[in-house]
Amino acid sequence: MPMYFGVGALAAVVLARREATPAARATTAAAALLAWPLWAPIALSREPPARGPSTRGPEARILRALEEALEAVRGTPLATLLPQRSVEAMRASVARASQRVGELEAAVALPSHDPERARRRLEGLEAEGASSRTLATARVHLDNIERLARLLSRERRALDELADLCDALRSQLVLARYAGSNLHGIGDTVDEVAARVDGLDGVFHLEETEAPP
Amino acid sequence: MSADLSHTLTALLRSPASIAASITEGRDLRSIARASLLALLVGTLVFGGVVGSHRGSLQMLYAALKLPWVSMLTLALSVPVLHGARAAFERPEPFAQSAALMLAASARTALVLLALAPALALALQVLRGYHAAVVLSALSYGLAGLAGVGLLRRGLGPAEGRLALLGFVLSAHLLTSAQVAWGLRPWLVRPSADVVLVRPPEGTFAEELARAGFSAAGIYDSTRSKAREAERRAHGEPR
Amino acid sequence: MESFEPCPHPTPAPDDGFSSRMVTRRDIHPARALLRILTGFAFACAFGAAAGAGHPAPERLVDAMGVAAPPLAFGLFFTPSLWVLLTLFDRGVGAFEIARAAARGVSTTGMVLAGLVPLTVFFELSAGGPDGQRFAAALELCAVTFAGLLGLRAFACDVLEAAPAGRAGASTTALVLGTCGLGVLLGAHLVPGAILALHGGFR
Repeated sequence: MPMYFGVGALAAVVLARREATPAARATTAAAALLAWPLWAPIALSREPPARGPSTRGPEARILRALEEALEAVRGTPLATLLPQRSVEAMRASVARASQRVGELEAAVALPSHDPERARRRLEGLEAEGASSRTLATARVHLDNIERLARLLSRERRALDELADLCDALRSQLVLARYAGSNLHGIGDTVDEVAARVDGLDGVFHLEETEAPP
Repeated sequence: MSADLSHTLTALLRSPASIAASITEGRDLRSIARASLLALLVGTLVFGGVVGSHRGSLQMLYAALKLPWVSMLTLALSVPVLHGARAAFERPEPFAQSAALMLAASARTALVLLALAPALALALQVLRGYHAAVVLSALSYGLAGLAGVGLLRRGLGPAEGRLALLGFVLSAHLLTSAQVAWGLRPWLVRPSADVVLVRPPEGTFAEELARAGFSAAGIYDSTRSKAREAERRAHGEPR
Repeated sequence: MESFEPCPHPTPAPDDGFSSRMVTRRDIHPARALLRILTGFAFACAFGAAAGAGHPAPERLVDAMGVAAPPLAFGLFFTPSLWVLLTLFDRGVGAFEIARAAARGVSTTGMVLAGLVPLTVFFELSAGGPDGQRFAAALELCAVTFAGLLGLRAFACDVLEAAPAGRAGASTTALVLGTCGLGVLLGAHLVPGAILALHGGFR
């Protein structure tokens, strides 16, 4: 028991010093003193950067552009063109698409999904004169890997194009705010952005319909 | 901070899936852990007091002080088990997430214990028998445990082999919790026994379970000693 | 009802921490594979030492290594033998692929046992009397068995996955499972004796 609280007191001192406010310091010290085996690893862990929008890549560009566009129209008649609700829905779709890209990247990076390796295996089987059934299995595997890679590249491209469009929308809105501009043209861009965002969720379906049977 | 605390406590009870998702993503671990620790301390403290109320007086205080330690020590011993087993099932997660998940699951259990405490307290006052108190307390704990298992199951994600992983972790947790509680007994205190903070160390809970099983079947210690003696004689062993 | 898959599909590791580096499937450098084996062995030794915490004595360190010996022996002696057999029958699984599978098997066993170290020490120190010691020993035997079987599963799945399509037939599976069976026999031969010795023969 004395050893437990001895380690707890040490953990309390070390962990409390990392906190910014006195209240947080007090809670951390109490938690560390009483339950250091559980609290210490949690207190020492880092919040994942994925919590908010990432600071790099097309997802970050889109979210930043949407945020700034929203800021540009706030309190002006232009606000009706870009309601907060629509922007929230767009953000959610972009986050989903970005997560899909991350998952696809991880799947494509697996050693068993290496197209070169699958191709070599198929060539080796063909050279050995393997049965047609075996060859067909190897071909299906290779085909699946190539489709995965195509899907990833399509998702990335869609996000990149959307990021460019969002940048354009932002500059158009900022310009409209200060110099006045054609509301009709802005409405078209907003519609285009919304359509592209909707399209993000459809990339998988597109791939399915385009894929050979 | 209080709004955050209240939000997390509500989520622990109402939407364990969102808590499990936050932990899996490594988000808000500190606020979840802070709220869970508080819930765990309060829930087990109150429930321990209620269990001790069967005997009353000082035992209420002793049991109320000891039960949070049972939870805390059990968690400290079972989190590494979860962490290692997750890795073996190809779902490695940072240690902090394993700790937060076990803590949140135990906190949910403790909150349900808190909810069951008034009913149990009343039942213990109405039904004064020792065995009835044991059964009711164990049933309450088991019922509350189910709430925690739900959160733990969600936190393990949809990975293959989740049931085996859950089974392994739960077995380790139950064994540890039983042994820790055994080490810190007495809890209900038989009418004939004295009230003490902790009894001297003696065997394991498994021996007590076996003894209770034999007792329930009408075979008592003296009968078993005679049977062992007869067995030794039959094998020609010295006493 | 969840279906049981003997070999889980490889999933991208969500975490790149220590445990992830120890057990996830990926093409790792042979030096990293050796490191995985040694770390797994060290963890298993730590478990052995924890199992002897109730009867501490310097000579028990050897018995502690007895608990850890089966995974190491499997990784260092049984897997080369499997490689020879698979190559002899032209099953197309490379030596590095088998070494990687063995490393993942040993580290998987080691990770499970490492997680059980605090709990084992607690049981050893809190279980009094010969009956209590027997109970703790039985739990330790269950833990080692479970950890060993998980390690063997990881090994077998990796080797079978590495076998080229069309050649991962019944004979390959039989050879891999046969080697795993020998691993089980080795464990059954060494571990109970080591655990008994770690408990001072329950005296």
